[in-house]
Amino acid sequence: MLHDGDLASEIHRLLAEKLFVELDSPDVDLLQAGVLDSLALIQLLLHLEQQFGIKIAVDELEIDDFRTITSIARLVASQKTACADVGVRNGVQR
Amino acid sequence: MRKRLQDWLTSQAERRPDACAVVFQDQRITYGALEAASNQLARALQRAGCTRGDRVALLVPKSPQALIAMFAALKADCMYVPLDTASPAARLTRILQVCENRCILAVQSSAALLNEIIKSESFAKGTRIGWLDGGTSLEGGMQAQFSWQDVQSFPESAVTSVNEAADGAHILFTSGSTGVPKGVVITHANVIHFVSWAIRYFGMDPSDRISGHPPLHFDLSTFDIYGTIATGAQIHLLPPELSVLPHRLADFIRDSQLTQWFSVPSILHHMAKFDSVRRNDFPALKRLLWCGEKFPTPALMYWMRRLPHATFVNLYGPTEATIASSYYRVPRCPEDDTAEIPIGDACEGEKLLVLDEQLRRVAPGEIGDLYIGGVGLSPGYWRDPDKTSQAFRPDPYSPNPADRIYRTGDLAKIGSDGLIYLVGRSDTQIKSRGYRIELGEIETAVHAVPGIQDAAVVAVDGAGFEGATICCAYVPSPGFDVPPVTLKKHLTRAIPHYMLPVRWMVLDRMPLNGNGKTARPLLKEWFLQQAVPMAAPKKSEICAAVQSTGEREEDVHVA
Repeated sequence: MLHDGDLASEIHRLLAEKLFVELDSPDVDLLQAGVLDSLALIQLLLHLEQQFGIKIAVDELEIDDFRTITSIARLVASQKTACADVGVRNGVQR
Repeated sequence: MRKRLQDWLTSQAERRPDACAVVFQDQRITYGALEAASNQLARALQRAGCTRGDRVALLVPKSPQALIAMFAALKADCMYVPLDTASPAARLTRILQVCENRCILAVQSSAALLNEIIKSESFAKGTRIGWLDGGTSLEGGMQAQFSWQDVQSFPESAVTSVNEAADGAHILFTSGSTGVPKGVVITHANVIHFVSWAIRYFGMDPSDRISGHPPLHFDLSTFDIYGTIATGAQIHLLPPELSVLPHRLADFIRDSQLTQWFSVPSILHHMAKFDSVRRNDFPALKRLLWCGEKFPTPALMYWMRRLPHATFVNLYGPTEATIASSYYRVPRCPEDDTAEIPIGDACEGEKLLVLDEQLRRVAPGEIGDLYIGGVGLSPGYWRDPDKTSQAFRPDPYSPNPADRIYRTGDLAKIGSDGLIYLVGRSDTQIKSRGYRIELGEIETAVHAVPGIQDAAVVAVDGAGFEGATICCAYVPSPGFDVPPVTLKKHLTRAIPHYMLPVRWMVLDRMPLNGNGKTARPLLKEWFLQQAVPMAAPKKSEICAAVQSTGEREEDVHVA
């Protein structure tokens, strides 16, 4: 199982490899730094969904969910838990 | 005496001092308060030595404070220069150097940027610094001329200004093809002509609640601000980060009960993609206006179907011709998603001409260069007579030798309906998310990065999604390893984020055409092929949004 620290470094790597963004710290404000605009956000969300096998409901997102790498890691962790819960429930029903 | 922009504020403040003028987050500023604060700040600027025609730079994010500073600069007979606080210090330093500002106004949140600018060798040491809040310490032992506390000690009473309608009101910097941004001087009269026409045409009144979406260095914001103040309406400034989340943006329009929305189309397209607008949403919204680039017809249809109660108007015009020069009110929702939306007819007092190389009018249906003449034309580029004379020429169709026309660089044709349609560009300028970008400025910045031997920047059409996609191909110098992530990091120190390429290609050598020049069409081809579709694990909302308006999924992927 991934720890938050691992998740943060995976997201750090994803930003560098997919969006070509290198950040000095996981707490850099991505919006203030101009790293995330509407286009970059869609790219990021798509890559997060693919890499972590999660589904992100855009209309439930808040700005603070992706302000920093740390907050993105928190979002991904909560979505992974939510997906896992759905899996367990489905298993029981079957 | 003919009206100046600040006179609009003064007359509203006299008539309705308690009416709300500006709303931003939890702040509400009345006309009376805006007038009083701008009078105090104008006096502080005068005390700092500002006189008629001086430039006052605003290193202030979008906020009521920024609007106070604009009116204060005008009342002190100065021109203001709104700066993009998200731009790198190096670019802002170049702009400041060109402007020779008497004063820079800043706030604590822009202090780090200001200190970086002050540290630069080219920073003019005589520049005065004023804080619009408590401020903080400055680099190199510099002392601020005043803080907001000092400003508040000045009288609130009216300031006597001596500037006239023909004086410059502000300088707006746009991307320059040689790497140096160009400063477009806009006069009081330029703005007053457009805004007065728009108020009449749209029937704006004091009950209007007007959006303030674009950043303040973008000329669309001029209409939001002065349209509001001239009519005694309210402007609702949107926090920039809201634009990232389409549903939060929709909440804002709904909760603020906006009656007028004006933005670049890319943000409206973004909202359409995520289906953020409900049927008959935003019941207070009377008009939805866009400018800056083409609004893809499928996205326009999405909006028009959901908001049958609103009027939809396409405005067109470059910064050099002040806000907009032509308009087209879309009479009904197009039935065909390939329907072309014209830029329409000239606004009152403006003139649009489609001409050939010899400046002869082209026949309807033929493509020519689009020129603009009339009351909106800027006097020219700040301290750049060469560029001014290249772009602004005598109007061959006017008996008045002083009349000029501006070559927009847009290619256009006159349709069988007599309306003007845009067909493309005659140069390498592109639009991305409404920003006007010269690829040459990006290329110059890439060439300046150590370890780059050759580079070319091209734009590929993103099938309407956020405008064009900026792509950079480059050849590292022998012995250098410069991956895209490193190059991009270097570029963030030279150009604003909206100019950063999103696709990259590292080459051993640049492809050349028969004339020995970079084969740009071939590079575009390569970038289009390079986009590899990514298979999402399952059909997600995001994938669906991307595909919803018939776009290819790869358009939103980086390589």
